[in-house]
Amino acid sequence: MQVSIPGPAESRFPGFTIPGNIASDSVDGETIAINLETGTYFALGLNASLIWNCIRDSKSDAEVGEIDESEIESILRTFVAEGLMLGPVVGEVSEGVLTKFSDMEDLLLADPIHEVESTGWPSLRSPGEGPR
Amino acid sequence: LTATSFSVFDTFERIRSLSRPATESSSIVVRVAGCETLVTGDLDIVDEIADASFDSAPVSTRTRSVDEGFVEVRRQSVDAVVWPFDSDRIRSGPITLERHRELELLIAVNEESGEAYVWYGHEIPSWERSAPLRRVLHLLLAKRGVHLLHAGVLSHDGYGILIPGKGGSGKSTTVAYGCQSGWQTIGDDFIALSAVSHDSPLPEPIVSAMYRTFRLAAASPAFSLLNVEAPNPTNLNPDAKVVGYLDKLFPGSLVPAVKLCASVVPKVCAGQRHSTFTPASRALALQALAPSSLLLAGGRVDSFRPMTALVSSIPAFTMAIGSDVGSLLGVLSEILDAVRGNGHTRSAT
Repeated sequence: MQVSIPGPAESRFPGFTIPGNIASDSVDGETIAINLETGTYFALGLNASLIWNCIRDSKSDAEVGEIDESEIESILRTFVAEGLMLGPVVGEVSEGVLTKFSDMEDLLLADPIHEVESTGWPSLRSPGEGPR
Repeated sequence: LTATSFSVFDTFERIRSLSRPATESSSIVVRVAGCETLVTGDLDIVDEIADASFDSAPVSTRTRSVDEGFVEVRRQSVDAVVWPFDSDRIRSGPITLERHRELELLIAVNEESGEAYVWYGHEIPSWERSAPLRRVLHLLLAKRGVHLLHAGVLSHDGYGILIPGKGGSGKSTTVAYGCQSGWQTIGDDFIALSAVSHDSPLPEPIVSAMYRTFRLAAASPAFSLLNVEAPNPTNLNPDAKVVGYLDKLFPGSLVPAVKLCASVVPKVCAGQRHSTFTPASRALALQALAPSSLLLAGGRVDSFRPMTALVSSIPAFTMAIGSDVGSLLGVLSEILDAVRGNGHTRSAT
C-alpha cells in the first residue's frame, strides 16, 4: 500500500513525550509500558504500539500512516489520560487502545531511583517534616 | 557466571549467619564486593551517608570494627534513623542510595568500586532473608551485563523452561513439583540473565542461579512435597511463605545454569481438574516477566531490553494449573516435546 510519510520524524507527533518514570519495550509488535512510580503496567495494542514506538524512538514510521486519524487521536488521548505520555491534548481513555494492569501496585517500593547529576543530592527535607 | 553464582551463595551464607535477632542498639553493615573480589576501599561513603542518616545520634557514639570484610556500626537507637532526602531512592553518578519505606533498610551502592553498604535498622526483613541483597546485586551485576529476573526455571534433559510471573502465580509450586520428579532448577523466584549484548533474539538464552533459597506458601498444594514439618505460625513470614534450601529440599535439583527453550506463564485455575497449556504471544511472556522484575529489582530500566531479547528468543506458552496440580508435569513435558519438535503452534490439550 502506498503511504505518505508525514514530515520530519520529530514533528509527526509534536509535543508528545514519554516521561522518565515510564519504561517500555516491544516484542513482535506489541509494547509493554510500565509506570515505575505507581507499578501500573500496560499492554499496548498493535496500532498503539506503532504510535508509541514512533514517539519513543523519535523516528518516522510509515505504518503509522495507515492508521485512521481519529484512532490516532484516541490513542494519543489515552496515552495522556493514563499518564504514559505528556502531550498537547486532553486526556481521555478510549477502549481497545491498551490493557491496564494494577496487580503490581502493592508489590513495589513505589519510588523510582531519581537521577542526580549536576545539581548534587536531592533536596533535604524541611526540618520537622520527618520521614515519609 | 557459573562460578560466580556459587561464590555468591557462599557470601549469602555468611550474611545469613548474621540474621540473628538484632539487639536494640545495633545495626549491621554488610560490605559486599559485587561478584569478583572483596574491595577494601575507604569508608568515606559510609561516614557521609551515616552522618546524613542519623538524626539525633551523634557520630561520636558510633564505634566501628572491621572483621573479614564485614563492618559493624553501633549506635544508640534505631529510632533515630531519619532519611533526610525527598526521595526514597536517589542516584548520583555511580552511587545509589535507597531507603525502605518502613525504615528497615538503608542501602548505599557504589557501582564504580563494587562496594555496597546495607543498614538493617531492625531485624533483617523476611524478604531480605529469602533473597539477600537482591537490590544491591541488581545494581552491581547490571553493570556487568547480568540482570536479575523475577522468574522460576525448570529444566529436563538440558532443556530449560522459564516460568515468569508475579507472586502467587504458581512459580514455586511448579518448581516444587518438577524438582520432586527429578527435574532440575536454578531457582523459583529470582534468577540471573547474562546478556552482555542486546542482540535480539539472544544467541544463547542462558540463565543462572542467584540463590539457593526456595520460598513456598504454606497453603500451596506443593507444601506436602517438602517433607518438612507443618510450619509453626510463629515461624512464618508475613506473607505466609516458608523458606528453605533447594538443594536440601530436593537433593540434586539445583544446577548453576540452564539454557532456555520456552517460557511458560503459569496461572492457578482451580476450576479445572487437569492442567493445560496454550501457545501465547511473546508479549504475554514479557508482560509476565518485565513489570515484576523491574519493580522488585528497584526501578532500574537497564534490564528491560535484555528481558525483551530473552523472551524474543524462545516460544511462549501459558499454563493453566488445574486442581490436579501434579498434572502440570505432563503439561511441561508436552511443551518440551512441542518445542523440541519445532511444533511451537501445537494446540492446547
